[in-house]
Amino acid sequence: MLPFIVRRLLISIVVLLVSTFGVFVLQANSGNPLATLTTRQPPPPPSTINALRDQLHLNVPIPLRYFYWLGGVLHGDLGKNINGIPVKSQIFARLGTTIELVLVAMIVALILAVLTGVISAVKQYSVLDYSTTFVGFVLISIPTFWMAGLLKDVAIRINQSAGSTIFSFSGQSTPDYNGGFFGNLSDRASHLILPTITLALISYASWSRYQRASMLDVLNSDYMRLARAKGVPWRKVLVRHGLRTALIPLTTVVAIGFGAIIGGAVVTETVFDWHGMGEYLIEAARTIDTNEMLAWLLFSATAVVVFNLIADILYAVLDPRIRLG
Amino acid sequence: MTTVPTTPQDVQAGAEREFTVAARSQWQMVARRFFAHKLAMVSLVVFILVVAAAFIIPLFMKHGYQYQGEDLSVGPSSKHLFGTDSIGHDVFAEVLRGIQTSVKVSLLAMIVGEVIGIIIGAVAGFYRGWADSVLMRAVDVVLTVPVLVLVLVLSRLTGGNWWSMALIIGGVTAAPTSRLVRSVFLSLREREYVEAARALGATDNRIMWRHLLPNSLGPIIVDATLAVAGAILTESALSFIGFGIQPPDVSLGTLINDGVNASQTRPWLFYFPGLAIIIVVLTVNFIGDGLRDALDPTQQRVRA
Repeated sequence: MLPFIVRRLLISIVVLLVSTFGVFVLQANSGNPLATLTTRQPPPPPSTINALRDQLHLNVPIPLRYFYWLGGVLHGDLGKNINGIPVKSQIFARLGTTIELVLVAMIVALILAVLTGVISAVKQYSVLDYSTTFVGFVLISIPTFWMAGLLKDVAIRINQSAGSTIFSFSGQSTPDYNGGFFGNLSDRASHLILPTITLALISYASWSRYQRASMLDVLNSDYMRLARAKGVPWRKVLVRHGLRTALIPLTTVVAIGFGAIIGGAVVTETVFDWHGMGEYLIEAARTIDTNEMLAWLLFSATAVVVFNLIADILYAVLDPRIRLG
Repeated sequence: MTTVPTTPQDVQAGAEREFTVAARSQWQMVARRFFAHKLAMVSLVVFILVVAAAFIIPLFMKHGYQYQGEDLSVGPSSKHLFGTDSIGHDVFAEVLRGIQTSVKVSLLAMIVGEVIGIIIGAVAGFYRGWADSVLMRAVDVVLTVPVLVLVLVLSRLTGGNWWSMALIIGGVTAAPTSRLVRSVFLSLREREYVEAARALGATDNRIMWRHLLPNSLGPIIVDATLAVAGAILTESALSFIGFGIQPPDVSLGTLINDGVNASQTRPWLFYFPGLAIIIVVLTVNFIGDGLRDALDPTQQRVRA
């Protein structure tokens, strides 16, 4: 197992280097980040712009700029953004915000997906199976941002008819609000609930489809019949023999889908005005800020790589037939 | 088309052939199974109708989607089916234009993605060895970067017209497609008919494109329909956050962005473009599901 993990990590580092370099080159070529500065009123003096250009290494060849950045990263320095603010001072608070959203949504989606996937497989062709399948298809077809807008609209109507703020849909907490520990907790929860549902529903749909399909495969296998014939209770057969095997394909699906969840989180944060990594990414793309973009990518790509590695290891743990090597 | 019965579909077809009078080719069987899939057929009809409407109705409308009339922010009526926005645009005309954009972008993106994905996947799966390693590591690199990020950066490079959006989305989605094609080619290249073709002196190119590709078409067709659905969602998300189709042109994503904060006061601005996306994507997904059932009857799927 260990040599496998080490080799995978080494490959991953190369992949990370190439992907950050690629995105960097593409973005650095897409325009002049200081162009917006020169259109500012009153225009900043040329000396300021020149100083900024030196500071951001904009006057050196693009590949060299990447190595300046890489050198900084190895020393724990993520560089400065276009306005001269260190990226490191901005990104960690945002990272926490987004991780909270993504993790809670993933856990909710996973639990729901496994439950409904298994139930609709066991009760194949029942009304329940048909309706969860149909709902799944509809959910897969709904754009994340529209789902977010829909939930927001419904929440506003519920708030209006209840006459109080049950759901909050702007930002991740009420600014300057202090209601003690429990007050703050419920404030955060009321902000978290709608974005989480949005993100969870989008992933839930495809995951439950996979869970249903893999559970159906398992249900038709001989060892299930054998376990049943030995007199093992049906519930125990389902959970111990069936579910354990049926969970294996889902680990890959979840790991590979992680990139899509990040994309979904970006859009969800936009609709609900969260100041997380999503807003940061859009800002980085809009202002052609390579340091912000690379910092963003460093975290998201590392997360994708780590999730894939975890999926491979889980695969081996859940299925003893698979040998890593 | 007649092929040597070696894939699971052919074996299935062979088994059924014993009980039928007239022999049917594999693709006739597929077509029959697809036409019997009610949900997929209904979806196909709805999809064709919606797309046809989006391209034909604007030809007969008095004003185009960019025309600003005198009715500002009025709700749906017989004059403005989907109402108007605050500067007098007819939302119905805008939604039709948005569907046009979505369909154009997604179809071109699908074609680009499938062609690139098939070439990369076929070469990697057929030749294996270093070509496989190099190509698949390149695919790994692309897959490490979230699709939205790649498209965000690339769209900045090209500007916001529909075909550059399609090329970008297609190029990015070629990565997962190439993995799929590679895995199919890896398993098919060991079949006896490949050996037979080689013994007859067929070149690598002939084996890849005349023997392996036709036998991999099942998963590829399903992947292509899902790619259309995915491209519509990616394009609209990108336009929603302001990096896709640029004004004065409209896309369903930009329309929803205009309407998302008006859902209380002028719900038609938010709901009609959204329903349009959902109908198009949902029908494409159902068509894909029907194709999957038709092409791979061994897999257990929903009966319709």
